[in-house]
Amino acid sequence: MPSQTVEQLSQIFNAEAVALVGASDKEGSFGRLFLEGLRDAGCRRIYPVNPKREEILGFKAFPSISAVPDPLDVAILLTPPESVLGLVKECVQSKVKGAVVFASGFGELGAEGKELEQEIGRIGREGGTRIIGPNCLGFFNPKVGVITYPQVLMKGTPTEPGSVGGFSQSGSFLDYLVWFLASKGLRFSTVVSCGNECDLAAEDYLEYLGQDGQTKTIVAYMEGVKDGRRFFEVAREVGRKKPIILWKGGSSEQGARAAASHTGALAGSANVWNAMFRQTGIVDVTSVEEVVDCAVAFNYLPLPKGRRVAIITGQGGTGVGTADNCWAMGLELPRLSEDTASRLRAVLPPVGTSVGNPTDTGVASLLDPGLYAKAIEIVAEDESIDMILVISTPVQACLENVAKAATSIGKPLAVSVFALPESEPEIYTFLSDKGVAAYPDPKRAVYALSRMAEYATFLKDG
Amino acid sequence: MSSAAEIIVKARQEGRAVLTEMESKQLLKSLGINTTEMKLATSEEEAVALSLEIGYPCVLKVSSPDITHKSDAGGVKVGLKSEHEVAEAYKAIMASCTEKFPGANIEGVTVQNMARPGLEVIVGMATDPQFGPVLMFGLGGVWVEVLEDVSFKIVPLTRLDAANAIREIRAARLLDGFRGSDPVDKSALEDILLRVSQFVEETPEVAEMDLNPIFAYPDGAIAVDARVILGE
Repeated sequence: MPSQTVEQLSQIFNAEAVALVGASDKEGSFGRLFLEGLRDAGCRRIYPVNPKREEILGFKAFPSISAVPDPLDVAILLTPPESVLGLVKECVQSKVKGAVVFASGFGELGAEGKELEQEIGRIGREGGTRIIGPNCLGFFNPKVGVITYPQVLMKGTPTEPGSVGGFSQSGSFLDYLVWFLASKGLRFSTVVSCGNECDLAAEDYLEYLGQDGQTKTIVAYMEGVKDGRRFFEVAREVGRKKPIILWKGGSSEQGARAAASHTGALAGSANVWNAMFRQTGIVDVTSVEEVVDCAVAFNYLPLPKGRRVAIITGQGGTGVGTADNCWAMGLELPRLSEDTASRLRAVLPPVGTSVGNPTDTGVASLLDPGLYAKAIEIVAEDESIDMILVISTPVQACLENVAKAATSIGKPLAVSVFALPESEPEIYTFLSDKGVAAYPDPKRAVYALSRMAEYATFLKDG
Repeated sequence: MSSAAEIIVKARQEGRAVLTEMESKQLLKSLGINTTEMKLATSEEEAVALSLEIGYPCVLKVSSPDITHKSDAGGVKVGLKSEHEVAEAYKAIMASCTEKFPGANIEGVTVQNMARPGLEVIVGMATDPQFGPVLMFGLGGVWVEVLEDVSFKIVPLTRLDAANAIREIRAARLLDGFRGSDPVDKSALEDILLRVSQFVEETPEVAEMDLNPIFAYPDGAIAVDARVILGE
């Protein structure tokens, strides 16, 4: 049974009636950007609130939240920090289910601001208006047409609903991440910016996304945690249901710990977070690239049964070097079965190729664009292979065959192409559109596969 | 035998945050964790009498709430094989400790049986400001300080967490038997982790613990030294 918080979040994230406090038609203002954003995304009922206006961009404007005649699900507050407390009280009176507070100038400034935001959080929570923020970028749920992410709106990011959920203690991080992942063909369920977490916090969003049927993968950025015990308990449950890809920033600020025991002296924050990752199955990453690479793999590929990988390459050297990377990242390269090897020999030309792990299709793959695909299909049937890494030539006909094979073999397959995204972006767009996990550097493919294998092991051993 | 709660209440009443070794081990015993036998002697004659009872070789350690690093104070004598050696050790410990810690409240010495040598490991507990109680497992004795080869788990631990804590240290191979030595009893170590996990979950007063060293054997494990620290 969902907790009360999850039920409240569900009402907020699936809002049909949204008030935009501070709505405006002034060019270059958030008040306008968000109003247009809500309108264009198909938000069902929009209520601009601005006491100075009768009408904004064709919408009837209201002087206050309480003047809105219909029940409101969410009030988005774009007004200055000093107005927030009064507005939240008004939301409570008008029984608005959630308020999203954009204003900064609270806890991040010091004790006084901290006290004020805690007061706002308490009044909201106790009064039935749950608060997202302050100092946040709101949330993004394309299914119901609520979008308040500036970059997403300004860049015209595709906004069909999808299966990636996210939360972040850095608002702009997710704003950009949505854009990056969209370029890899990924789409979103619900994405939320945590802000200062005066009421709702990362653990609440994680719990919500964990039970949200539309969300298959969760991406997140965090620096601290409000209720660590609860976060741990929630992550332990959610981590078994779906992958959580988390970048935890601020691990290096350990400082000297005054402790009377060896254990106390060694129990630094980085060690404890690491323990958390291992116990919950969280896929911890440390860069934008790793977030994106893992999100692509976990979304496009089935989970491997084990850690055994086969490499199929068109270039011998890169295959050998990539094999080293596999071992270094905990993957295994078993010998192909006799049957697999003889079937490969039957399709590969005898000169300039080699059968094994890695298997090298040589320059022959340039002349026969179907060669990779044939090799993939044969290797995929080998019982001793859990996943495949293909290092492919950038020939279109070849990639088409690889893409077709990649999505039909039922085992995870990652592709690395001899092409830089800077020089040949169309190759990556083509592969993403086909739902292929493609990486410009084979090492990144190895990394993504190794994290999948690690997660699969976690699920199996638990 | 005193329960953990009684031991904690007594220390609190006396205004102490650090339990003595004797109290710490009594507490572990009450949790079902195997520790060395120890008894408190308040005089040389009593120390000799207790050594006869416990048997040789034995160990004498100073017992004082004011002296936490007993070895540094010259407060530990090991491998004592006779009444005479025990009497001499008692005198030496008292002399050294009163000289190095003048004014310390010295209750006496504990007489302990000497555990047969085993692989030294540590089980510890600390309180994380964000996640609450966490447990640590690692190579024990002096290796903790030198190698810091440890792993952490957030409480409460499952049996799998306990097994993983042991598996995750770099020196895990040592526990599996190395160059002809028998593998140590990992399930006994897992049991210790699980008992400590349950205890600290139910006892928020405890801020830190070191069971160090624990001697791990092919059959079972024994906590040879222990320290329990209470929180605010």
